[in-house]
Amino acid sequence: MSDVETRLFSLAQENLDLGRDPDWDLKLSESDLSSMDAVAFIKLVNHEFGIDIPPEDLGDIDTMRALAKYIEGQTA
Amino acid sequence: MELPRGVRCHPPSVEPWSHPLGTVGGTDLVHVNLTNNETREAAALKWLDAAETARWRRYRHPRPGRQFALCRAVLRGLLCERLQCANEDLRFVALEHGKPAAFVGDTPVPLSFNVSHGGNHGLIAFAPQGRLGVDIEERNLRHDPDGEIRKVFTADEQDALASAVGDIKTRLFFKLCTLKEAVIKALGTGFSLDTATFELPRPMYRDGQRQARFELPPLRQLPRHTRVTWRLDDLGTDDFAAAVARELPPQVG
Repeated sequence: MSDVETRLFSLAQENLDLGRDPDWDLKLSESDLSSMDAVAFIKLVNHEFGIDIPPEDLGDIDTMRALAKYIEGQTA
Repeated sequence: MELPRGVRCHPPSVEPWSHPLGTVGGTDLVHVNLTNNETREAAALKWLDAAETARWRRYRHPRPGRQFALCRAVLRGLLCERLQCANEDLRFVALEHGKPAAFVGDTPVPLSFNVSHGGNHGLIAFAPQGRLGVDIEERNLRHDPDGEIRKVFTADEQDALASAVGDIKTRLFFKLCTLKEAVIKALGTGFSLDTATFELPRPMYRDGQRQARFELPPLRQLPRHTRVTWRLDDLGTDDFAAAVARELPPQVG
């Protein structure tokens, strides 16, 4: 895993009640994650990585892997 | 597997796992029992189509798969009953942020519906028209309500939460969460809408009011803003927190 993926993995394990390890390729819309949990998680991600993901970009982030790639693009 | 008139989706040999909760403001509500029960889940799976079965198989852990199968089977049964259609003719597609839409053949179903599940509870809502969102949660606190999670609320909502203590704080936290989630689900925006950018009706979170009407402010995430009145209902019981948001038809005259 890349550094971003490792940090994202820890953040998800600590803050999302998934009852399992995060699935990198599961569609977020098919996970049992509520929108409220997802909103809170995105705020944590913004804080953790010092970024501010605009709402229009969130539409393209449909998996945890896509989120990791987005963060890598923003912080490279 | 045509569903005859008046027959629900539960086969006679299986104890029903849903029951009507009643009607609020023209929205019919059905509770779904999602406790672990292999007999029910096996019966539910018979009602799913190939795409839904494939989705069920993709769940790597039993709980979300069970929640999906039991809720979807009940939804199929109730839609067939209301629309007098065959189960095989019913199909679902996911809209941009995962909100399901249903079709009979190529025709969109002529009613609104929405589904939520949380822990051992599922909730299905039906309305004749308008956007509709529901949410149901067990009140298991996974976060400190005054911690980072508070940032999903507006300043006044956070203040109300900070002023509450004990069980009242827990109930208020879940009331705020389920009401906001219901609004997001009605809008179909998923997590692209920051829930701190709109405030719920104050009497609902300050005075314990269980029903209110409100309008969303113009939001950057909702570029085609039009004035819409929403009806919000807090459906919470001692067993779960729940809420429904429904778009009201424009006033005539």
